[in-house]
Amino acid sequence: MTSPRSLLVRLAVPTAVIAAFAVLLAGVWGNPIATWWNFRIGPWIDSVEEWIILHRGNHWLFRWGFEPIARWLHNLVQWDLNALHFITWPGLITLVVVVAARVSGIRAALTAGVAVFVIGGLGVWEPAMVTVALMLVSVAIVLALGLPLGILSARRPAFERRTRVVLDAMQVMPAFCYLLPCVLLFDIGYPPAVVATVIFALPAAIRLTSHGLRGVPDRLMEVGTAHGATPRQSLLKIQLPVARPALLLGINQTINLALGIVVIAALVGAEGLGQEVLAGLQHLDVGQAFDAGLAIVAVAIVLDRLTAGRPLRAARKFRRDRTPERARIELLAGVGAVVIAIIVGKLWSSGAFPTSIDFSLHDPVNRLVAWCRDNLRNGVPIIGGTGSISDFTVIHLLDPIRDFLTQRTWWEVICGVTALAWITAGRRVAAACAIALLVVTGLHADGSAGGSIWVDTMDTLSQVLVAVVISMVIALPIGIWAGISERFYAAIRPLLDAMQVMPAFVYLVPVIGLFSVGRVPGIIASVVYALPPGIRLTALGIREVPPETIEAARSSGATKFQILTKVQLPLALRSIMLGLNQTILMVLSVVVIAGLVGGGALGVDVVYGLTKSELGLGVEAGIAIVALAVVLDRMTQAWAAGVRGVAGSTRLRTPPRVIRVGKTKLLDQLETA
Amino acid sequence: MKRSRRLILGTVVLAFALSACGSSSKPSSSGTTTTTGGGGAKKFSGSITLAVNPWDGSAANAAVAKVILEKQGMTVKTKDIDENAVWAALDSGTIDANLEVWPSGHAKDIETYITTKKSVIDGGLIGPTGHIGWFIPKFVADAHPEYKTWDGLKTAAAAKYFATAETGDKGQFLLGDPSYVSYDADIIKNLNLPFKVVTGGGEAALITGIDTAFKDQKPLLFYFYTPQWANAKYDLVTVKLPDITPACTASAAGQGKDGKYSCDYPTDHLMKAISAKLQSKNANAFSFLEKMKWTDNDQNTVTKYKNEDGMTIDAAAQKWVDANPTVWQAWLS
Repeated sequence: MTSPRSLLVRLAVPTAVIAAFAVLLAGVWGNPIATWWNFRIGPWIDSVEEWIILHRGNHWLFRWGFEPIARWLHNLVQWDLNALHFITWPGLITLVVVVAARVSGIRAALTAGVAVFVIGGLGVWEPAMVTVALMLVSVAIVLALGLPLGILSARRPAFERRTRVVLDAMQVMPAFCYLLPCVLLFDIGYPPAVVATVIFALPAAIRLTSHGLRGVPDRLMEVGTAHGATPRQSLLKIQLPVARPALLLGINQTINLALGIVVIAALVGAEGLGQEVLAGLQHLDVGQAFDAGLAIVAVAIVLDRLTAGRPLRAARKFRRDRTPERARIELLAGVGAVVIAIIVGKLWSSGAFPTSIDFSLHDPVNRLVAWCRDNLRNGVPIIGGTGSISDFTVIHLLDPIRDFLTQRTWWEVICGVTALAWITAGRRVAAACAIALLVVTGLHADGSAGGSIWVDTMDTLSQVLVAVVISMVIALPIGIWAGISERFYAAIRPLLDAMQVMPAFVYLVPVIGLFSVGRVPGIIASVVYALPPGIRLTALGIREVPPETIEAARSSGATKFQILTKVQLPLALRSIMLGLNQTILMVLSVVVIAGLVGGGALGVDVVYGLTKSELGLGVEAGIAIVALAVVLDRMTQAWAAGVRGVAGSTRLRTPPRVIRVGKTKLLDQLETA
Repeated sequence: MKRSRRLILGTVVLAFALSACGSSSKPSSSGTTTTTGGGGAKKFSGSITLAVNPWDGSAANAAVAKVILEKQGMTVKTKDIDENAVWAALDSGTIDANLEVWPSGHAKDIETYITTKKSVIDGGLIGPTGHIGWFIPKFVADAHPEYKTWDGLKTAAAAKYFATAETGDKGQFLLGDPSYVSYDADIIKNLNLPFKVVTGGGEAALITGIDTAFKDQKPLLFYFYTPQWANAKYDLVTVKLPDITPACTASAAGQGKDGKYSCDYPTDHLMKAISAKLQSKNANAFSFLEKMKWTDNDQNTVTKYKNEDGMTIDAAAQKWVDANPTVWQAWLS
């Protein structure tokens, strides 16, 4: 416990230093936007773009660099696609079932088989195969790069430190920012889609590998050294095997993140399921987009079952029971089944999925959307309807916060944030926040709406804050309930998964229909996307409280409610703080999506800059998003680290950045472990 | 423990193994059909790729070109792609032509690729014209005829009428896709209109906004354009803006960067952009695409077959081609 005196010191020093700084600046600048410096990142990017456009096609860098890579990537995807066509749909189902049965067990195999069948039944077999081919190539490349880099970063902390900012940027920078530049380098079609996917998914692969390896207990390594193991041996025989769960998780995460690029990949001609989603969106046909979105969820399920591995106990039993003869028989049976299925598929309607099998939810979904729009917008008793909720949020939440942030001068904001970070999170975090925000002040591209990057950053920040608060308000009670009731948690888990893999584009139209174009639909989309980690981490925190502690409380006569508020919640606080951290990063990762439905600010800047060939603006807006992420991430991480709780002290020693963005499979694994 | 390594390896190998066994087979469906025939001199052969941007007119142009050229014995592929990403593909020759470019939104691309680098050729006009403008629903125009001209929008009453939570005491002007050419903020400023631009962020957002306004019978002033399928579904009325002046033309030439634009939008004469490489690769196809030209009416007929009669775009194109041989025969000569 800190004594009052030291608390005073802790508060007084930063306050005094920053206040002095603020007074100094106040004398110099009254301008809300910093005008004294300009890093000219935008103009520099623009000139690079111009050079690329003029030289692509004849410069050696393209002739011998990017073009061969693009051709290679294209051929790789095309070959996979041809193979998928060659084995036909019965062949693919059988192959998936056989592989999943070998890797993850019978139950997983059945689920995967059903999922493949559903893809066909949704009427999107052809585009789904394109998406699967893209996924296979992207994920293979991510793993081929991510595993060695992850090993390197586990062994050399200096490497890890230096790459940290780069990996952060790769994860938070909107994929839009590099997708269109990728087109200039790699032309259209599969190659830019693969490259963008690799950029987006690589950090998770590197971090999970490195995290897994570093999680190997020192004593195990010492045993190895004592027995004279070379570094290579201890890597191959000790570290990698022990880190297996984390490595499998890395593959899993990579796949799920990669699926997040599917829709925007269609913008650059990569086709696949993303194209179906966009085509539906073009005519506001939510049903069509939903079918495609469901197929993306099914692809995620299939790939998950193919790579998840067996739960620990089942895996042990599997290895014990498995004799070489049995393995051989299984292999033969598997190969035989696949071959027979391919022959059947070839004979039967030349391998095209029969159109008579139809699971399409097109009509019911469209009816549901129409019903919601007609009945929920107005005239709901008490709350009035989504229309009035929307107006209330704008007038009473968004506007005041935005006005507050945009009316402060830039140095007021920086000093305020830095002071807050210093007091609550320490000097280092404060320095990181100050630097990140100072970078934003040096960005001076013209915003799409004529505003400056700084003002748009504050606007986006206000939306992010509101979205995070709403997410946490919803996530906490659900998470607490899920933490207490095993059955409830089992029931919502598939829904949480689907919420994250289903592309936001699918539900944009109904959300706008309900909440009118503006900042609110963007916030709703962010909340839908960001809820799952908040719920999962809250539930995890509650469940991680040791039973002995609860037993002790109960035996001293505490009621259920008292146990919850006095024991479980305080002990779960750290996990909840990590949930907050994750929620913030998730919200930031959909800023561009929010821009597409009326969120304006940085999201629109990114879209506008990239589509109008004003790359400079797009990239500067992307950098501003990364800067916001640095500030909010470092601060909340420090808060989480400062809180005592079981999650931090026992199993969840994971630095939160490892599990950021996209999936929370790690949590699932921890829960089942 | 070897399993983890094997698994990871397995995933990598799976991708490559699939590649290997796939290379021996042909794709069972490549999405294109080749029909040879047509008789006469075999002028047309080989294969080209046409861009399809995400709107019906673009799909109609490409489908008609495809139907005609395939009848002549060519292979025509179509590629769904964003209208901005397509320029890089025209530059490299991956896509041979984009048959409907709205020049107002692509001044910079036209300058870079057509004027400076000359890797893309201005293929002339496709015929249909695009009109961008300010629109209100018909029920608004009926209730308040004064809002049919910009003069009527100057009043505080107009601001109040069109106001939403997002715009407070000002009226809302709803914009869609930020990449479409838009002078609206400047028009509002220069004409002293008490309005504020809200950027919907995408075409889908804009049309959903319109759809909601019609469902709720709520006022809405917005940026819209023809041809667009939603014009057939919703009864829309144009708001009259000041006539185009030389000053506005000058401002538009600079993409409105001077902030002085204050007139109606100029008519967009939709053009074709053809990859320069096609000229040497397939001169006959190049000349066909250059000559291809039809009218607003023709294009609307095809999109109507698709949207109202539920035909596929290829079937719709075929129906138009069957009915209008005189129009397209000229493109082949």
